[in-house]
Amino acid sequence: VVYQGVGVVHERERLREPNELKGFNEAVLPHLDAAYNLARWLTRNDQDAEDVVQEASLRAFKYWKGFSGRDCRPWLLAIVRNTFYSWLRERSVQPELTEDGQVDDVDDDIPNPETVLIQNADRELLMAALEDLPVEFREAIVLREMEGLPYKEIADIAGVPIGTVMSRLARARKRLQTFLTNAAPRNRL
Amino acid sequence: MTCETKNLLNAYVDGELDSAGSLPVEAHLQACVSCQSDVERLRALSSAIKNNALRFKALPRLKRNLNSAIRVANPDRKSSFLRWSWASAVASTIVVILLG
Repeated sequence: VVYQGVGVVHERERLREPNELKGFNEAVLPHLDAAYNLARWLTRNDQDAEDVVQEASLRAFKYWKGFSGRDCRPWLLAIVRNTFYSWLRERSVQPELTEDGQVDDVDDDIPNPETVLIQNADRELLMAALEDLPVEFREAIVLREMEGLPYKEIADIAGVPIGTVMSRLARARKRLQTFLTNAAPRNRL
Repeated sequence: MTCETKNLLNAYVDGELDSAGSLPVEAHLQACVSCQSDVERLRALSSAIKNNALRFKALPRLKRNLNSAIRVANPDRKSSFLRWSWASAVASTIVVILLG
């Protein structure tokens, strides 16, 4: 459980409005599942995801008074993402990054019957395919396919241009399709 | 086979193109079997991800831990004031009784 820095925040926050926590809870807690889902896919681990979300929530509360947007979900997800990368740096883990804008060397003309393999892929295979993606591709897929966010919000969360989001999604999907069609048993065709 | 429209297929499937952008793609799809297949696969992949419950949900303990951590970070001054008021009242009563 991450409680780092709580003592410092305790002193700093002593004079805050009493109903501030209530407002924060009402606005932010409905998005806790989205925050956890992103953290879980980024860390690929339950406990690490909980630690990242808890730390991110404390950071979010710290900056809550300055938040003026209407929809706090992308704001919270951006904090979760930034917390995750801080968490990686603290552990001196280098994420496997790819070069944005490069086209993957993947066969463009996958035979059409492979659509059936993709459509029928089971949960275990899909999880393996997603976990196999480089982290910035994984976050793009999670934010688009699971959270249904538009490209603009994904770009804001990841701090990259929309063109980079498009490139990451296209490359991530191509990798997923290749993984699924190569791994699926042929007798399911 | 490659064609320029392929670069737009992800945005088309994601509903990110406006009508001016999507109409030429739809016209192209009528004639291009390769791009039709790409769109089918993109939609199949999207459906597979959505239909397989791949979205993780936060456990109740996370919410409990979170509330505790935030409460530590944001002590309720009102409750704290009331507790001190009660303590002061009790102490005053004891002093009055002892002196009386």
